[in-house]
Amino acid sequence: MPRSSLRRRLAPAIALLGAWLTAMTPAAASVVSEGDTSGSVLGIEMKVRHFTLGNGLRVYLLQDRSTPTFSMHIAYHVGSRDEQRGRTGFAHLFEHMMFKGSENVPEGGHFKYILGAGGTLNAFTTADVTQYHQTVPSHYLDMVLWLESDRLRSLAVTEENFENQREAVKEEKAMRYGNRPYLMALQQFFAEVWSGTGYGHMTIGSDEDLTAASTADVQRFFDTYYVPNNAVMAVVGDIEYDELKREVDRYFGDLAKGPDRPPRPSIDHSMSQPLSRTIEDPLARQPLYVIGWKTVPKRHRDYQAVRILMNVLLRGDSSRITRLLKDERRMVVASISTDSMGGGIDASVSAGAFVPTPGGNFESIQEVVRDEVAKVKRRGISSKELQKAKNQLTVDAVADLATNDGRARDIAQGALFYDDPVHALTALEKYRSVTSKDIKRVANKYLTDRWLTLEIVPAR
Amino acid sequence: MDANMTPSIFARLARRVTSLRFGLVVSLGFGLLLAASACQLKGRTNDPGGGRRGPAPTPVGASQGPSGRSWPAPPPPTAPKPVTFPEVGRFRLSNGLAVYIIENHEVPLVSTELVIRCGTMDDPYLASFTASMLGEGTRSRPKSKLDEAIEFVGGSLSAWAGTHVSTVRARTLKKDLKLALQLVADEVQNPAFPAAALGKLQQSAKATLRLSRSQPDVLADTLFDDVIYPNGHPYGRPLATNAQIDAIDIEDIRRFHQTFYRANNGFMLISGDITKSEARPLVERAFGGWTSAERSSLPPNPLNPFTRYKLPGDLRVHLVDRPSSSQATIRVGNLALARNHEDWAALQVANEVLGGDSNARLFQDIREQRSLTYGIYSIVGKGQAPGTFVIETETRTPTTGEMLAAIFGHIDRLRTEDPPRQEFEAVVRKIVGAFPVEVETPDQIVQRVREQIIFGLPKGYWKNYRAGVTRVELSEVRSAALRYVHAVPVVVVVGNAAQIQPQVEQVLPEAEIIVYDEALRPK
Repeated sequence: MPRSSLRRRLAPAIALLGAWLTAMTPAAASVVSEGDTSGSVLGIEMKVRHFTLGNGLRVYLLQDRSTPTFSMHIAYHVGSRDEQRGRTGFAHLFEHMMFKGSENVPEGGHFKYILGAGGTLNAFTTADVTQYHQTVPSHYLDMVLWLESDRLRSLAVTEENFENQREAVKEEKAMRYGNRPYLMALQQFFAEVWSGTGYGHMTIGSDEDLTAASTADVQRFFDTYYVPNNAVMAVVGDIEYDELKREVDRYFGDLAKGPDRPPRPSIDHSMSQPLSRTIEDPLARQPLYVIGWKTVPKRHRDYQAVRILMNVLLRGDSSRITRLLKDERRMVVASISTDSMGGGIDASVSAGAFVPTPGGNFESIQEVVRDEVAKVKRRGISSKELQKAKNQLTVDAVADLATNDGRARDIAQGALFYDDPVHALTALEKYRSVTSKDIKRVANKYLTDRWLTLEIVPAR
Repeated sequence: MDANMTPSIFARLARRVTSLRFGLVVSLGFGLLLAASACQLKGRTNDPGGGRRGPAPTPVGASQGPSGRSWPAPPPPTAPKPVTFPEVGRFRLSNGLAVYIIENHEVPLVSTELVIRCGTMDDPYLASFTASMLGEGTRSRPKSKLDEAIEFVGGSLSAWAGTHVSTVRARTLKKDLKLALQLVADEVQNPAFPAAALGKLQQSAKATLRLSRSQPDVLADTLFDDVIYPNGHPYGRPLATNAQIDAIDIEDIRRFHQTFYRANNGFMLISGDITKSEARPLVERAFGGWTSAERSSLPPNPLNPFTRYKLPGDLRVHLVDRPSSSQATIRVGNLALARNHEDWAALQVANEVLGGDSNARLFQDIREQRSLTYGIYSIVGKGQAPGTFVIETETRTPTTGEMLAAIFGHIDRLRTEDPPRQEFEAVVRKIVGAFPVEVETPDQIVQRVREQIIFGLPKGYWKNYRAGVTRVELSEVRSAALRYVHAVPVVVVVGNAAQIQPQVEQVLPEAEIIVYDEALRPK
C-alpha cells in the first residue's frame, strides 16, 4: 500500500523546504550537498563523487566507461541484529517482500524488467545490512531508478504476498540449511557465542518466529527502516554524474525523510572462561572442529593486525598451523582460516576450522594450535611472514575491486559502515602499516586460553 | 590447491548471507564450462522425432498476468551505446604454444590460464589425477615450496581437468606475473608425481565420489547422459567406482602427461593488467624450452568415431528408486547439436523462450502459475560433439505426474506454434542486451575466448555475436524446436519409485518404465 501516514506527509514538507532554500537548480531540486572522495593505493584509483538528497538519501558514483553497463547497490541499514525478540528472520523475510510488487510494478516485475533488459539482479541480508543489487546495460538507468524508488515509496504489503513469502522463506531455509552438513550446528554455536546481543540468532530465523510474524510487523519494519535517510546507493559504471543526480532526484527526491534509526549498541568481546561445545549433526559424514577467539570488531584499530596474525597461522597450505596439520602430520584433510563466522561488523570471532583425517582427534589438533599460538606470543613472526600476509590481503582487496559489482558493493558498505566510500583502499593502507611488533602484541592480548572450541560430530 | 567441499561451505557461511535465490544453479551435464580438445567435429544428428507424435500433452495457453490489472510500462531505455568485444592480442612461440592476451587495466591483477587439449574424454581418471598431481611437487620444488612461493605473493595456483581440456590457472598481482608463469611452467614441464601424494588424492577422490553418489542431481545427470549417448561415448560415462580409482598407477599418470602436456597441444590466455609486449619475453623465458609433440604422436580426438547417433524410437522413462527422496528430480531432453553448429543461435532463442530464465514459459507457468516447483529451466549443453537439450527441475513426489504432463505440454506448444512476435522480440532483445553485461570483466572475456577456441567457433564470432542473434527469424524458433526439442525425449526421474511409478503410468501411458536402484543398476 502507498505510504501516506500523516507523519510521513509532514516530514517531506520540511525536507523540501530545506531543499528550496539551498539548491535552486530545477534539475536537482532536492540535492543538499555534494562532494568527492578519492583514494589511490598501488596504482588503484577510486574517484567517487557523491551527493545527498534533502530526505537523507546518500548517492555515490564511480564512473567507469570501459563497458556500457553499470552496477547499482542500494543498501538499507538494517539486518537481523535489529530484529525484535520473537521475530527472528524478519529482515530477510522482508527482503523477499521487496520483490512482491508496488504501486506501479507488478509482482515479480523487478525480475521481468531487469532480466528482460539483459541484466542480472539479486539481494542479500546479513546481520548488519540488507542490500539489493543489479547489473544492467547503462541505457536502462531510468528503469532501475524507477523500480527501486517505486518499491521504497509504495511497497505492496498484503496478507497474500506475505503468506506466500513466508512459505518461500521456509522452503529456502529447508533447502539451504536443512540439507547441508555443518551449517545448522555452526549457526547454533555462534548464536550461543553472541547470545544476549543482536548477533545471538540466525539471520534466516526460526520456524516459530517466521510463523508468528504478521503483516502489521511488515508495515512497521518498512516504515522504520525503509526510508531514504537509512539507505545509501552506489553506482559504478558507464553513467554520467549530472544525469545520475538529475534522475535520482526525479525518482527519489519527493520521498519523505523517515525517522533516524537508533544507534546500535557496541558488543562486549570479553570472555571470563573458555566455551566448549559438542554438537551432533545428522547430515555430517565426518567431524568438523572449530577453534577460535572473540577478538575485535571490524572498526577496532587492532582489526587489521589480528587478521594478519590469523593469516600467518592458518591461511593456505604454507601457513604455520595448516602446514603442520595437513602436509607434515596428516592430521587434517582441510584447515581453513576465517574471521567472519557468526557476528558481523561489530562482533568478530577469529577462528580456524578443521576436517580431521579419519581417526584423528580434536585434543591433538588443539595441542598443535595451542603450541603454535604460544610460539607467536613468545617470538612474534618473521618479516617474511608479515609481508606474505600483507600480500594475500592486498590481492583479496584488489580482486574485490575488479568488477563493477564488487566496487559498488564495497562503496555502499564503506559509506554505510565507515562513512568512507573508499574504505576498501583505506583498509588496505592500514594493513600495509601493521608491524611485527603489533602482531606479537595482539597475539598476547587476544589469543588467550579463554577460547571457543566446537566439535561437530556425525550423529550416530 | 585442491577443490574441496568444505571451503565453499565456509565461504557461504562466512558471508552469513541469506539471499533471494532465483537462479537455480544448474549442472551442465558434462562439466561443459570447464570443457574443451584436439579436433573439430561437425555436429550431425539424425532427423529427430520425425513425424512421430509424443504423448498427449496438457494444453498450455499463453501465460497471463495474475490479475486483470494493467501496469504502466517502465521508463523506456535511452539510446544504447555501442559494445565492442575487446581486441585479443596473440602470438605464438617457436615450439607451437599459442598465447592470447586480453587487456584490462582497472586493477593490477593478471590471470594466466594454460589450457591443454586433453580431458576426461581422453581418460576419465587419468586426466583428473594428472591435473591434480601437478601441484604435488616438481623436480626442483616440493609441494611445500610451490605453496610457499605462490602464497607469499598472495596469489593462487590450481589445476583441473574438464571434459575437453585440462587447465592450469594462476592469478597474482601484475608485479608477480613472472613468478606465476615460472610456477605454471615448472608444474607442466617438470612434475615430480610423487607416489605418496597419489594415495592422498585417491582417498579424497573416493570421499568426493561417496558424496556424489548421495546426490539426486548427480544421479539424474549421470543416467540422462548415459542413456542418451551410445556406449563408450565420452559424454555419457557412468560414475567412477572405488576399484577404478584404486587402480590408478603413477606410471599411467606419467605416460598421460608425457603424451598430452606438450607446447603445441595447448594454448595460453593471459588477462588483466598486461600488454602483449610485456607478456611476450616472460612467456618466452618460462615456456620457450617446453618440448612439442610430433603431430602424429598425439592421439586422435576420442569423439571422432561417433559420427552418427541413434535416437530413441519409443518413449522411455528411466526411474531411479531413491526411497529417501521427498522430491522427484527430473530431466527431460534429447541429443541436440554441437556448439559450432549453424543452428546454434536459433536453438538458443527457442531455448530462451522455453526455459532460459525466470521470465521464460516453463518458469512463468509451472512455478509462478502452478507452484509445482521452486525452479525449472532448460539448457543447451556445449560440446565439440552434439550436446544435449535438457529441461531440469524438481517437484514434490505427489506432483510428479502433473509436472511431467506440464513439461510435455510446453514441448508440444514450442513445436507446433510460432511464438507471438512480442515474446520473440523480447527474448532476442534480452540475449542481445545481456551481452555487454556478460563481457564486463576480464574473467568473462577469457571464458568467451576459451569457448571460441575449444569449440572451433569462427574468427570474429564474438564481434558478430549480437548480429547473429538478431538475424534469427521468428519462424526459425519453431523449426529449431522441431529439430532439437523432441516429441519423444528421454525422461529421467530420481525419487520414490513406489509413489512415482503410478503417476507416470497415468500421464504417459504409452511409456516404457525402466526402474534402477541408487547405484544406477536396472532393477
